[in-house]
Amino acid sequence: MIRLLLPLLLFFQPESLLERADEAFRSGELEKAETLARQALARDPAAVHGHMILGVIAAQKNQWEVSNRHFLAILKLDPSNPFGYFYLGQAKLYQEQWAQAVNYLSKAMEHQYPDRERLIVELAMAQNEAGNPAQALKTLALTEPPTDARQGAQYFGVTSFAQGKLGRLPEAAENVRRAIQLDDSNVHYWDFLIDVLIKTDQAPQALAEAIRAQRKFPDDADTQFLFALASHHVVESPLSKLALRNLREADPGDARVPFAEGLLYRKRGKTEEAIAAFQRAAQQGAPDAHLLLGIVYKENGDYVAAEREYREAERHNPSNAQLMLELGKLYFARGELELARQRLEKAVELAPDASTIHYQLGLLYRRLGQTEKAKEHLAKSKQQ
Amino acid sequence: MVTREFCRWLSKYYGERLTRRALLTSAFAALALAQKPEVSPTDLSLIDDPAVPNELFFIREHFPRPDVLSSASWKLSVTGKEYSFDDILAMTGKTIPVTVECAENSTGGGLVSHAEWRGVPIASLLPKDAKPPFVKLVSADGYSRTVPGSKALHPDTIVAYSMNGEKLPITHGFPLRAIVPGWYGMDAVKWLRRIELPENEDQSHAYVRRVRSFFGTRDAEPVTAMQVKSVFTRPQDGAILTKRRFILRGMAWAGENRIAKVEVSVDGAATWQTAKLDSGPVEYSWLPWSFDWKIPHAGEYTLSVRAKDDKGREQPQQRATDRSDVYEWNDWQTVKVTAV
Repeated sequence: MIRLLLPLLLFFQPESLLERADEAFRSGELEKAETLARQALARDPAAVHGHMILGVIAAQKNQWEVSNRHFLAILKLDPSNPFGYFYLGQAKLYQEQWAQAVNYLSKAMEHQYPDRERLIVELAMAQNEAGNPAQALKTLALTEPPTDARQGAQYFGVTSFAQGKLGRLPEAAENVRRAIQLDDSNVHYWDFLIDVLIKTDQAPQALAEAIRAQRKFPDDADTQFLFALASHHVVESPLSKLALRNLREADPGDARVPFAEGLLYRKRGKTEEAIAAFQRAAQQGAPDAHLLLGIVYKENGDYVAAEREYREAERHNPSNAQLMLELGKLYFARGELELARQRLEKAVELAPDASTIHYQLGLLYRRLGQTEKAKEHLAKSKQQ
Repeated sequence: MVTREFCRWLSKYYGERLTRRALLTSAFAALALAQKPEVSPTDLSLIDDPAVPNELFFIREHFPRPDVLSSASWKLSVTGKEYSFDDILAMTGKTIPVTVECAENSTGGGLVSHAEWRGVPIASLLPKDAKPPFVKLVSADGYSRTVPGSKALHPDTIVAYSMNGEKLPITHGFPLRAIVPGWYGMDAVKWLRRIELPENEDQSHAYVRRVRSFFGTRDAEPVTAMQVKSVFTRPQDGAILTKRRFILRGMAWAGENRIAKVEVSVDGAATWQTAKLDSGPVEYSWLPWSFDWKIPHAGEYTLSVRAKDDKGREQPQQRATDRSDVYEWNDWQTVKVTAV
């Protein structure tokens, strides 16, 4: 008799249904949790926790429309519910809707979301991705690094990404190393570290980290490409061919495969093959392929083709300091001093610490007869 | 030359300075390491072609490396007769691809590499009618090995002066070293100074199997020819895989014999599948193998590899329990990976 009555009693008690749904959800029985939460909502459409469970399950399945509907329902029923804001913010993070993520996560903060450390890291991540790295660093400063290893890694990871966006690369490298120490299973930390080390002229260190990363993530195309790039920058490295093979196996259709082929040919002094490979990479849309083509053409004395490729690269990405430097040098060599000045000034704006750019600017201003400016830039080139 | 004038996506690129710095760092590191014996395994994840670049070839030294600055004054004494480095170069040489493995190399360990060696047969340095029972190879660092005459005088056993087409690096025995194909690396004596023909085996640097039994531990057979063995080069233990297909790769070797078969397991050694041998089996040389693995779903996987040779030798699942020495580790290699 009791066995018959108990399910009936539970059936007519939404609270119990929700408790069972919650229990099922926590034990990973998502289908059961979903069914029970639906039953609870059918009996009480104002059951906030039911919406919470259904929203999170939908988010886990990337069913964003459904998850949004449930999370918004929570806020409608209980406008001061911090969980509703937090989950909605998280869903927006996953959907890469950064501004909305910032908005909802900020409201979760206002409404005292209990896991403050986690909230701060996620909010900072959203702020950084939304294009506000300085604000992200301010947000992170509101808390100490979390003691939980994974959350701590995220804290240092977001810190380093924001510092990277602000051009504070040595600090960024230091913090992403901390992130890796706490959690070495996140490929983004490794890729960022290698990239920063290449950008700060630490090619041997970049290669050392790339070797470790390619071992840990053998089928990650980004990692294998960075391995190829780091290997190319270290003259003594015999690993470029291996890196190319790994990249090809990771993703044969990746536009960076012909790009890495070009790097390998260039390293071996095979100019024609390098040009052909970079051309294929450019056709497939590989970033910087036109820049590389320009560099190879210029090395071989074909300044017309070099300028054509640099201009094409400029059309794709006018914010590349390296490209601006190359164009500036090309115009300078041809005596087109105003064009050279424009590009070199743009280059130094993009990379204010680059000694090579200051050196070129020093030479240019000396040629233009602007002695003071020339002295200033040449002095800066020696300081770096 | 390559680094110079090359983009690194930002504008700072002092290529020349970088290269010099890297070279200087290496030079200082080499000086520091020269103070004590170096043991540096090869990172197997960096193996591509069978020939391992000289910079990546494993290093196993017994004593501090001798100071050898030039080959000009180097003399190799062979039973009292002295050969200069140029004398050796002037002789008819031969090139042999040989895999060298340290006898202490662990299962899946990196104290193994492969190179193309060029040199002259030891037999060509001895009188034609010489039939010594033993040949003693003596290094400038104080290390020596006594090899049975039949092996030492085999036409493929050489005094090498070149490695992968380059002169021997100092870490690999410049200017002259022995290469004893198919035998463990302890016989490939570096910085070769002297060759003697003793009547008896010199036990000062002996490598013997030690076997435990009811009556205690006893010395058994000497360690000589390499065992059959296979390793993974990709993936390495702890790797994280993100796709549902991955080409497992590795190397297999069998000393003086040839590899006949390589098998892999992707389910904790419950079932085995034959791997593809990527080149024809050759004596003395390791060969690359591969296996196209379709990963069924996310999860933890235990991968294993084992090989057989053309003389019927197989890698054991586990090392013999009665062995108490530290040589000849050739049980199945197992790596754990995560597919996400």
